[in-house]
Amino acid sequence: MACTRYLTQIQEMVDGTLGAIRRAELEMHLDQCEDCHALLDDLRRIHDAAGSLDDLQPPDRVWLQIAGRLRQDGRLAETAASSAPRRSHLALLALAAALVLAVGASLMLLWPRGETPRAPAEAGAGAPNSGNPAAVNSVEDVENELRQAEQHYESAITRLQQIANSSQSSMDPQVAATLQRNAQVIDQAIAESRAALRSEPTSAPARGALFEALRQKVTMLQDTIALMNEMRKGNSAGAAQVLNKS
Amino acid sequence: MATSKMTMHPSVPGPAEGARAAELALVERCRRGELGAFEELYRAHAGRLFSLACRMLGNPADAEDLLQDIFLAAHRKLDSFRGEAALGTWLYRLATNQILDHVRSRAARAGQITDGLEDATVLADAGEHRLGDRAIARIDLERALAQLPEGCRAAFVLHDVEGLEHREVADVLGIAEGTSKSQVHKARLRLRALLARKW
Amino acid sequence: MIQRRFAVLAAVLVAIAAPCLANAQVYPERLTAKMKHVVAAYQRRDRDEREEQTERTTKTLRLGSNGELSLGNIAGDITVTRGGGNDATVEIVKVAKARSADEARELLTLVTVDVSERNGRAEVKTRYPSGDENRRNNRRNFNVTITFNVTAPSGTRLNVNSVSGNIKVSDIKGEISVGTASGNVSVTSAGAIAEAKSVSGNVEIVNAQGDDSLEASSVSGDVTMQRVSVRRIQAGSVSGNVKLEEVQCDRAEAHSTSGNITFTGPLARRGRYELKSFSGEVHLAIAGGSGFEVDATTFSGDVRSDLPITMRGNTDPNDRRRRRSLSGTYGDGSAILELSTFSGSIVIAKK
Ligand SMILES: [Zn+2]
Repeated sequence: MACTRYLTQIQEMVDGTLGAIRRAELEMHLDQCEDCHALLDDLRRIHDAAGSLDDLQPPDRVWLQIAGRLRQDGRLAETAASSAPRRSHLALLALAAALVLAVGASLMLLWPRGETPRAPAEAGAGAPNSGNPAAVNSVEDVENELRQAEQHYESAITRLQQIANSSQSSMDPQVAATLQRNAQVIDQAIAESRAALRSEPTSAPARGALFEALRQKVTMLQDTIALMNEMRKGNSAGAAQVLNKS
Repeated sequence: MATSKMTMHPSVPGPAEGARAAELALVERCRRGELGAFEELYRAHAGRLFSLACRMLGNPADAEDLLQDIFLAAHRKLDSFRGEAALGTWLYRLATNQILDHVRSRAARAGQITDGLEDATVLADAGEHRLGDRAIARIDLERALAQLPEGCRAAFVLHDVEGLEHREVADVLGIAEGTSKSQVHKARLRLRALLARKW
Repeated sequence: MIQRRFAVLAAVLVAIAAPCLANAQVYPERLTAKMKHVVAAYQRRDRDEREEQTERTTKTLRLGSNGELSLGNIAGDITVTRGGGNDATVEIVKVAKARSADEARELLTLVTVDVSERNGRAEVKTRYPSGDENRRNNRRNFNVTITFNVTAPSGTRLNVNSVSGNIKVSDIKGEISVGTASGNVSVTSAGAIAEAKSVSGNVEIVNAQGDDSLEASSVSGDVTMQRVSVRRIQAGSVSGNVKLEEVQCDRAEAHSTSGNITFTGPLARRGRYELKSFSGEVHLAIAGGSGFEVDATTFSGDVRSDLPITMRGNTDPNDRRRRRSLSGTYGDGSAILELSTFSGSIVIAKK
């Protein structure tokens, strides 16, 4: 039978809120008391098991009922299937997102760290093929994969850059200058990590740095475009206001 | 009992970089009445919200009904989604508030909010039910969860399953922080006893 | 995270722009041209325009104890502090500069502040005349800045944005979103902070306790947090440093391309901390809390740990050579640390 006076401390230990002094006191007791030790272990296991419970899937009928209700309530467009023309800024944003998603997807194959829940065993990533042992067997394969992923990024960057350049005029010059300077900082990082990768083709840190820098570049370009698009959207909103008032 | 609303967001995974624009585009399609778009949204989030509802209510049938209400409410309120929070977070908040409303009204109907019974028994039993080497199977844990009394189940689900801190649990449930602690602690002891039992 | 970096800021620009547009049929180029003038004038503080006129007004807004206040400015500083009672007061200080006093006085009348208020929600927006009006009046620059000094009830939700100017918020416990394109952002003694952003200024958050996640970023400035306790922190800069000091969170993601990253604070059980820089240092000082599992890698720098870390794999723990990577466990191993820098070094220290 666990000792009543240590119950709260044991629970707080599981909560992760036990202060250092009381923790030390408890630890001393745990060394001597098998019951309390067992209690702590069990409660911890319960806590951890609860924290790692998987999602439960609702039965299909729930969705069917939801869809039915939406239809009944007239909340669905009749021509839902035909794609309505989108406003251009949305299309642009969607394009940007799609580009990055495509890039991201291809990276997932090669570079599972960071994006996916980590499996400690492969987190070291020292071995070049730790990410995808089934598909990647040799150094050449890795390099091919790398090149492909990089090309995705490159083309995403080129396309984003074109969009950004063509709309450059809508941005405050000082802000534009800051963005440009910082784009150069990122370019420098890309160039350095690429050089590093040439000298040590299997280096995980070099590879990680290259992708991180490419990713940063993409996000910065996206942000730039989003900023400009938002301003345009402001204009159309303004125009709509004018129309409504007249 | 204070009826504070959910304001925090527990460990809902944020959208991957670049996914936010896609999320906004999806919401926009939902607003235009595209069923396919809303189904996509449903598929992406239903599991998580259903799990929360199931565990908080301790009853899959109620959770199914509630899930339906949650997504119908989400569809009505999509206009107010402006992308400040991730879509998952926004839905999570909405769902939590609905679930809590449900729990509260059910508790009010049943004339009980938290369980006052058998504190002493639970505590006295604390040492009697060792899990030993027995692994905790998910199904057993889910089943045991459903058998917890309402009050301590909600606190336990929010704290140990969803990963909220006690002060957050207290805030969500409108109880004192100390109450959250004692409810969660009690739930763990009960679960231990339930899990140690032979099924 | 960065995807959304400009969204708020952009939303403000839009919010500011929209009412101007309502006045006349304006096209994008004109709108942006006007904003450029306004901002440029503010930044230049025109030398020819020596005559200065000031106008002060104060408005009282009935926000209630947890109302919402949105404030959008184009050029000028914004300060928000806690006031007593249930009302917010907004002191608006307009300063116009021109070649003559008359001209400056006229400018004062052209730049206005819209205040709208309904059911505990108030919106305050600076409005500059439209491009057409400017042409009619034969004006190119508007050297008018507007400073806002606001006191608001502690529970107010705040949304403050500016194109050019500093933003300071203190002692407000409602949810805060702040952004400026050029200027510093400082938030002290706050509750929930949704986001704090600048493009070219520093972002500083001191003493904040919230339940949600906090996103702070700058492109070229430093991002600093001190004594911040939230669920999740996302902090980033391209060329500035990211300093997280005495922070407590379950999840932290900090990155910089050329700046350093510093983290001090306790680790949460099952917490996750990702700190990444390209050419800067990554420095972590752990103040108690949970043990951790760490993966630290660098290409050309080195990794050092003052804490006794049990190495994963067959590395000899007594190996004192310079190392470029380190993977292992400290204490109960329940938090996860991912640290990387390409050419800087990584230091794990005890606090
Ligand atoms: Zn004992």
